[in-house]
Amino acid sequence: MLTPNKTATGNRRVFVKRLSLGIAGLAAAWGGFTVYQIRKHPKLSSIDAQIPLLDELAETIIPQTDTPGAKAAGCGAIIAILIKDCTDRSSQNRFIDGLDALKDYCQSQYDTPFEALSVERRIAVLQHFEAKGKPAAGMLGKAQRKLMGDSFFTTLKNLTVTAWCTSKVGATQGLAYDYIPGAYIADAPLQPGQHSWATQ
Amino acid sequence: MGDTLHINKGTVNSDRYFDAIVVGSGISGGWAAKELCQKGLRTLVLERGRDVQHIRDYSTASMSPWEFTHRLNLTNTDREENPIQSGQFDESTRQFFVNEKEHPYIQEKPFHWVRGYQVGGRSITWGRQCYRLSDLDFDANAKDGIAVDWPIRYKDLAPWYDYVEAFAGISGQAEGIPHLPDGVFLPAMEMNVLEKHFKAQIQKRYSERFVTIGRSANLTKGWEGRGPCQYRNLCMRGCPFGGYFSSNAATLPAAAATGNLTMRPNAIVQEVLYDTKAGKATGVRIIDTETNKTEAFFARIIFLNASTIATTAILLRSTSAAFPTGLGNSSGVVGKYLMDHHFRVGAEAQFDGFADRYYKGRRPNGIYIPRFRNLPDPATKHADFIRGYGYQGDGERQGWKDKLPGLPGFGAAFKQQLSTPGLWTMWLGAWGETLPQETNTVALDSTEKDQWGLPLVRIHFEFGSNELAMRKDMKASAADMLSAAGFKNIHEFDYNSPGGACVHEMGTVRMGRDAKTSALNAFNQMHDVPNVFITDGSCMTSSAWQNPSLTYMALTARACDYAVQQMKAGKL
Repeated sequence: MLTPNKTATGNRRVFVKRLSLGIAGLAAAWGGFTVYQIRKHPKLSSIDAQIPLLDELAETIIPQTDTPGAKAAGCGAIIAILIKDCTDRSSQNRFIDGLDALKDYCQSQYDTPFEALSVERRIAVLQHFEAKGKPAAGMLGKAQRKLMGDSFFTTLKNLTVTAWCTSKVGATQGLAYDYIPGAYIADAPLQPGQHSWATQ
Repeated sequence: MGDTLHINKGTVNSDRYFDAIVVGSGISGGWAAKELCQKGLRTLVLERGRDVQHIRDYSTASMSPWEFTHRLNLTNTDREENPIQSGQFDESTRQFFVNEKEHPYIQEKPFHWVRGYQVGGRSITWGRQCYRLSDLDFDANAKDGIAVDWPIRYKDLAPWYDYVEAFAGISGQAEGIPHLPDGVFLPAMEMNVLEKHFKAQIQKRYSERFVTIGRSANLTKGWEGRGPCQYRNLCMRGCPFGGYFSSNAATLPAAAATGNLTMRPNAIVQEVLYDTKAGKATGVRIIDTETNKTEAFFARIIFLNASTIATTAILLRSTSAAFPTGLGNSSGVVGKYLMDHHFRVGAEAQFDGFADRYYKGRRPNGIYIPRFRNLPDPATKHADFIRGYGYQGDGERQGWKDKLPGLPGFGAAFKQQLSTPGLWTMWLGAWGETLPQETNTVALDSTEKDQWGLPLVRIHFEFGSNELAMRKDMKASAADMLSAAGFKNIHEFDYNSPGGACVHEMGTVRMGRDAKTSALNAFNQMHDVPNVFITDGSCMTSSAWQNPSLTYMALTARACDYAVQQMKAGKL
């Protein structure tokens, strides 16, 4: 991935090292409970029951527009699989705890479950969790991620995108899927509104 | 060929006796099988893994992303159970890599031993980049006083490069670059607009640097009944169109078509059998992995093509009174001088422009910048290291995976951004030569054994100071070129990848002129055991800087030709 601001590597290594120590210190200061919260054995069995909610959350990230959205792509079920099988333990715990926190937030703010909220309110709820889970910039964010995994919102967004872009409707209608290209055309003019290729 | 090559054993069970045994069915073993069978030898190919039939056994080859349970992602179990192999596979290619729990080895320092135990070996999953070595490489050890001199020069191998390229099918562009000799090429693939821009800029600014399209064993037209490439870029799953060279698609069917091939999967070679009186090998003992029973097979000549580390382990296991430290190891070099290329260093950057241009199809190949350091021209000498490196690279527009980390927010506008092509980007990664060091070794553990009772392989490997110095230049020069070509947001990288990660392991049964300091002669024949030939990566006297598989193919065809001549002359 491209990192816009380059730093001299030597300095960067030292910086990361210091940062990691700093964050380890921070985690220690936080106390054992938080560390326990993200390292504990995650309650993965609860996730399948949340697929309808996951579908609605994913649809808020990638809504139906002129092309199908996340719900039509069946993203909720895929997110559940990817959480159970492909996600690191810290991020799993933060995701499962995040779902509970989101339900609590919807109750306390609107006295209504997320699935029953208006589109505007759904957006407001996810904006709240996006701001809350925003990773720190640059190296600090990298170190943070390594130590504590991804925030609830980051995981939700990344998995929604993965699930949608690799789904049949996402790849073939939302993006451009070329199953058997047959040839390589090295220079093709980009048409207005043309979608990017679904696979590389 | 006359009947003279066939062994008449009278009443002896004839399915144990062959003219030739080839151990391993990967790139070099497949070539040995083809050449020996076509020259009329009844040939037994032994493969330790399962059978993989071309097309029939490419179970994932035609699947779309949504047909995979995890959408091609690695699972936590993959990472935990196969920490090394999972660095190479995804959900669509896992079946072509070993299970590390079932096939353990010992790393004294981190060394990635990437393996594919199946018919076809790693020829199914290889990178397909094909580059000739030149005398810059064959002369290098002698000139630098390092290790031993190669016993061959470019003129010895050139006709054999021609020969294997003409069958395999290598697409590429002839450039007339002395240290990257041109080959027998199928039509070259085309560069996209950014790559063409980069090439033009580099050639304007640097007199000694060239940018050419990658030379790849992907078929740009139908060839020998295979292909052409359909530009799916899913090669590692096995290609139902036969669009690239593999043993399964090309050499093994050619061998089978002669009627001389006997293929035996699920057969681990425990040791090569040696007859002290005759002074040669008589055959091999195998373990059938399905029955756990041992069996012996006999032949007049034996080709070991099990891959560098596995071939070395077979020799080290083949001890006798004559060879207490391993077959053909009177020199003591067997298991020493392990090499791999060092890579995962370079730079990537973004380009403003060509916003209205795109491409169609997924080209399974990139661009190539051949070595430009320490060439015969003194102006190219680098003060900090000897030898050199080449770059592979490619230009592309950002897709959804590339855009995601930099796209804030969510909702309709986010979706719109996610679904459209982003900036053009270019990636340059260097592949560098590694010097042979005696202390980089493959050995057998004295106590730990695998499930078949064979001693575990123990690997000790570290890159040296020359490689580390070279890496600085590999990174800086990539950034320099991207800068010179007008790129922005240049990001240099060096992921310090461990030995073996490049999957170019080489050198532990090296060729040389002197039986005291090498194991193989100029025809890949063991100095000590004249009817044993070794033509996989273990034979390499130096690593050179080029992707090595094409050289293994050429050395194999040449050694087969020599072996059969020697048999005809009654010398083997």
